[in-house]
Amino acid sequence: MIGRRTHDPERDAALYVSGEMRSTDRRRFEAHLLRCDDCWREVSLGRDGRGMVEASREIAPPGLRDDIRASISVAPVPRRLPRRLALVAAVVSVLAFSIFGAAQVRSRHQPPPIAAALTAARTETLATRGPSELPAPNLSSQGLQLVMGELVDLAGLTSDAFMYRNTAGEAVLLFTSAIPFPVAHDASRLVVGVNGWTAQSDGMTLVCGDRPMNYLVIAQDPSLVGLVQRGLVTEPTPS
Amino acid sequence: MDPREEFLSSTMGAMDLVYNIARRMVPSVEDAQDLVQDTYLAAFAAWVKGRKPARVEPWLATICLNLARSRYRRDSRRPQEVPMELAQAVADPSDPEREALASLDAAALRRAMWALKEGQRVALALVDIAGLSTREAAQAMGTPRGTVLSRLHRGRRSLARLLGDQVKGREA
Repeated sequence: MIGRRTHDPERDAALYVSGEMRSTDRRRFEAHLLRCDDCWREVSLGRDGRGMVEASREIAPPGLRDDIRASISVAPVPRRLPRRLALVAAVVSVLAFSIFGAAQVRSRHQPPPIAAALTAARTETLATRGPSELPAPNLSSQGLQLVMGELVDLAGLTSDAFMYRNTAGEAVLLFTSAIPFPVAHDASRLVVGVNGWTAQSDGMTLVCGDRPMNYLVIAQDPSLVGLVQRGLVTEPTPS
Repeated sequence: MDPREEFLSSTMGAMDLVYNIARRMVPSVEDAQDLVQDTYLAAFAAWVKGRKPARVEPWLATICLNLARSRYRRDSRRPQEVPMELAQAVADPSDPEREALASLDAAALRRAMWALKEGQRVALALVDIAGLSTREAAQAMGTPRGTVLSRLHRGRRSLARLLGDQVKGREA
């Protein structure tokens, strides 16, 4: 037994050999190793295996670096606006904000759980309370790979949050909860399929529904939100 | 600063890491080099759109894994045979155990790596070769951390069992 967890020689050996045990756990585990043949054997094998993997490390071929530099040198870069045009755009932005700004600021006054979810989506960080214990919906059929699954506190609303990315690295967040999410400010009701709503806030698209579970999806790109919605309906199987 | 130079100076230090991951996703050297180039191009496209992560290694690893999974596997371009190219292993003469490991038949080592399940091989590449934490590897692989720990240990254990006799023979 390590700490309060159950005896798990594989997990403990993996953590120990990877150097990821906290110092107190490590000391306790090292004392335990002297008494437990299973853990001793697993650590020995793990350490030997790690050495073999490290010995298989390769050095990239010398020409590859030049090939990458050459590829990047011709890769397209979005053009910047000419200085005068940029100045005009800036003036227009200031005017637009002075006219519509107040309305936009008001739209950011979301219910606290929605505001917290929006912050998580904008910053692509999850204030975790620990790993999610729910199986993550498998959205690989939609070209989305799970990158994180955490239990989070959205201003008092406990939620399992899953972050996915497409191959370009763009993120979409899926929040699920046993409790229905509050309705966002200025939301429109979804027309078909599920009871739910959609909204735009802070440059993000939000969609909330109640089937197959209470969910809230947020991404900058509305098409990513659509992919998650489709994935939830067609493939609600765990990863 | 030119965005190309900024990108290259921020990411090229991780090229060996990406190459080693690619080598464990696709067996041939040529495909691995293509995969590394594609990874850098996809990363650059995201970079110029404003995505500049604090740590580039897990980010590049994730892109590399995603590309390998979505493209190379879908196109069925992955050969079934295990290549025989030899990996360069660096020996440290001050450490007999390491020396014995380094003198392992590199082809046997590669064969053993490719005999592992893909999830185990990828976990080993990310953690033991690329130096990611198991939490970062879990994010890159899109799996819970517990799964990564399990794959990591089972992969290490399988290699140790597959190749342990060779190491013991050379140490003796």
